Amino acid sequence: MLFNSFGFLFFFLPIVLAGFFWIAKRSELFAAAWLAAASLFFYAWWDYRYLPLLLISIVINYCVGLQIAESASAWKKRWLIGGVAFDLSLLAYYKYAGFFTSIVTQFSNLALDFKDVILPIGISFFTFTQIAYLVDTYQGKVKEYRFIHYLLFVTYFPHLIAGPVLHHKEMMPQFADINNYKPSFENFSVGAFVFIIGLVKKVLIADNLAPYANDLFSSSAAPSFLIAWGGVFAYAFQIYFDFSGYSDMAIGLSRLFGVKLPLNFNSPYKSENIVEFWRRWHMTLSRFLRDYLYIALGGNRYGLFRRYTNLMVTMLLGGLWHGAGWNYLIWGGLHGIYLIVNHAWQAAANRSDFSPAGKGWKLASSIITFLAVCFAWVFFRAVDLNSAEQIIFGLVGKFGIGIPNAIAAHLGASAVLLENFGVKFFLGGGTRFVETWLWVAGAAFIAFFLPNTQQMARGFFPALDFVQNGNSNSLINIVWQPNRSWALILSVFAVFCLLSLNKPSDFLYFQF
Amino acid sequence: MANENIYRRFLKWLACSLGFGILAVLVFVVFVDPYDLYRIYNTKGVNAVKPVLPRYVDEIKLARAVKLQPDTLILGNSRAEIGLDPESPALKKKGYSAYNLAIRGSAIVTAQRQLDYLFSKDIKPKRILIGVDFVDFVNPDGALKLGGDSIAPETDHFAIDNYFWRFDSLFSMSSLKDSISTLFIQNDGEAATMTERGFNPLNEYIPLARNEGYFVLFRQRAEENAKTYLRKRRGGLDESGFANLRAILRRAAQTEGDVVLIIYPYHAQILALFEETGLMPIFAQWKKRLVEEAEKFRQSSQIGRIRVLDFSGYAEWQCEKIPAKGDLKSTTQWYWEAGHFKKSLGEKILERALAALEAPDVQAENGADFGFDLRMSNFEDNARRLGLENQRCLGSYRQMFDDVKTLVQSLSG
Repeated sequence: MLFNSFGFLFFFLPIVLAGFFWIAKRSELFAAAWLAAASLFFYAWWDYRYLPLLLISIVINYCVGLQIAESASAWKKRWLIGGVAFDLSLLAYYKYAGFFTSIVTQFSNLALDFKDVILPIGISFFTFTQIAYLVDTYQGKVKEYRFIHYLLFVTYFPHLIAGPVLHHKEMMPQFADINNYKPSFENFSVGAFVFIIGLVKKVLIADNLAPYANDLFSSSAAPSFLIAWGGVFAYAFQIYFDFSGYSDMAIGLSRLFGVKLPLNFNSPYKSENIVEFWRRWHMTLSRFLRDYLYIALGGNRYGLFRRYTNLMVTMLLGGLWHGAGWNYLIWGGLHGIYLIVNHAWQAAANRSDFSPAGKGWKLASSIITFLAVCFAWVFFRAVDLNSAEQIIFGLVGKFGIGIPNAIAAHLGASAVLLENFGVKFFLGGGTRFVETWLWVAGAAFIAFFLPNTQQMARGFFPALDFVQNGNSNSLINIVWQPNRSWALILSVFAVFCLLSLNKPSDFLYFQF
Repeated sequence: MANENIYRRFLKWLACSLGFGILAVLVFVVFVDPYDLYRIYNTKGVNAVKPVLPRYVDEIKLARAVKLQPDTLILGNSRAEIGLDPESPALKKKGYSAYNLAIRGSAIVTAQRQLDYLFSKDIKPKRILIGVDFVDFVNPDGALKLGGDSIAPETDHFAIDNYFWRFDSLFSMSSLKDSISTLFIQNDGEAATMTERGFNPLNEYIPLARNEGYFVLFRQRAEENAKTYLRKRRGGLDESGFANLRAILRRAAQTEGDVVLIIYPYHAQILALFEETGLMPIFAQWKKRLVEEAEKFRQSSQIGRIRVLDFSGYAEWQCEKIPAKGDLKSTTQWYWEAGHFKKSLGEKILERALAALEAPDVQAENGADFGFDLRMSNFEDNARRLGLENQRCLGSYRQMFDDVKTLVQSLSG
């Protein structure tokens, strides 16, 4: 069930919400159980056959967590290793077995026959959430062990299939807070605002960008320069608005139940370097990789070489987390290289007391960062390495520069000038070309110059981890208020979103 | 508590304005009626001109056909949809109520399903004019498959019975956009429109031709066609198309209706492409199969009159000169581009089709130079006609043949 579907919005959500507060009048625990049961239904709607897997994973992790908490210190670590090994083995089987089998088959004479299994939706998210739970339990950070609350913590439908990746310690107090079991007009208002803005990002922006990105990535033709960049930019903004929109929807939905989820995006394309980008993009995953992988590997505690190695390993595994394939590995590797270059540059700048602060420098840094991210997206999105290579060639101009003849017809004498510079004119595709760049320009304006949802609702603490005084870098200051004007604006947005729900819509992060 | 009241008011306003917004959209779409489904208000200058159907074309056209209950149907793909106007003088003169059910990009199976649906609604046309497209009958992967009728698809379910399209055509961004565009195209002679009877005049090609020239329109389509034909030349005739055709003829036989199979008047450029890509022998083979199927029905069933009219050739119409590259002033009289003929040529086709239906059944009217009444008995005559026309066209317009040869060579290499 998608958040952006009529079934979810007009049946599931109203029933679950009304049921939750009705039951909560009688018992908070039953209300939590109702929410957990609804979340399991939400999960099973996609494919009920994987519901037992989710439940087994939850029960085993819960039991292992209890054992870690209650065991003597010598056994704590063994239980932790056992629990994490169980989680990773689930992930390895469902997500990576096919990939590793193909590698073995490719590089050896062994003809291994592994039947592809369908990736259970959300497996990466609920597995990571539970690994963090086990580690936190081991470190003594977990204070509450009620099973219903644990079940709800893992299955809670706003985050179950696409994150954010949650921490036990930030959710359990909220599930235990009796105030959250009473309906609140403030929560409904803030939640509705954040959800509708998320819906706008997903349905009105990302879904409309998708065809232009698909045009490039599904084509076998050698793309010329502007076609390649148009398609790559379209994808860069599609994935941004898709995932950021879905995260906003999750935060907004959760707020309806009085629960604040952690912030997952903070205008990442406004970053001035790649380190900052990863602090702003998919923040809960970055946090997880930092806390449970990078720092566990030693972080920056064992010298420069180990630090860079740890960074690279973390990003390579982060790439593999997104999908089992060479493309994801290369994408992670590229970001590993970017981070290493960024840290090395920063270290060199510090040593030489070089501290650029001018607007021009910042602008150039932001542009370089964004282009580097876009370049890496090619590998993330391309169906295979060959098509990624074709697109990269297009980006660097190997296939020349072409514009549609329909546009050239309007350029008059300039067309001849362009032709002299080697620009080619091709037949057809004029409308597509113009639409691609118009959508890219519109999306870029929103991503670069407007505040994000959290900044707009900054007076209402919409999410956990929100830094109220964070640098917004927004050209236009927009502040949400629960007043009549905003109600009208949001209702117009909502009507447009509802009108767009009929369109086929993929959610890019469902299979991660 | 004061704060709670602020939020309460906000939520009330949000809910009310959301409800009002949804209602406003519903009323607006029903009122403007871009797909001609409700007909509550239809006024010249406001919403009488409807935009071309971007989706649910089959469902909407069928729904309209059910309402209009035509006695004459035009079936086929975009060539028929764009070229054959059901409100043409030829049809009007006879007092026929025609509807154009042709759909762009569709194969003959669509026509079969459309007919099945109309029959299920007890709408049984007296005349069926069906444009048959050779390229649709060529399977790029397979050799000729010989078989019976068993491969005709099941047609117990029609897309029109799925109610989602009715909801989507009422409440969706596309329906809202089409409603708004309906208001703006009322006096725009160059907007993409569709008539009440399913005809698409392709008005949007007028500014395209003006800005880029007809050469570009022909050239772009020729490149696409050449790629398709090069892909298809390795294949053979697909039997399933003939099974669909037989199903259509059986339907017509149920009511003793007349049928005209129209072999489209491809521009000579397309025939030259057939020649260069090696499709021409299969083209001739396909025509023969069409005639065989028609003759079988003519002899063995209760079908009314049945004609196979071959409009393909290299006569003066099909050999129409393509304006030169960069020429933005010259226009064509008969073709938008090689695959799609204009209403002007469509009128001649309709006149010829109706005349052929009225001609005595025992003697084919072969005197016509456009729309050869094709029979098994005159197949060789037709081949000779094509040969002669080809020579004349080659003589007067060699440049086009040379360009086609160069294009195919460049794509083959």
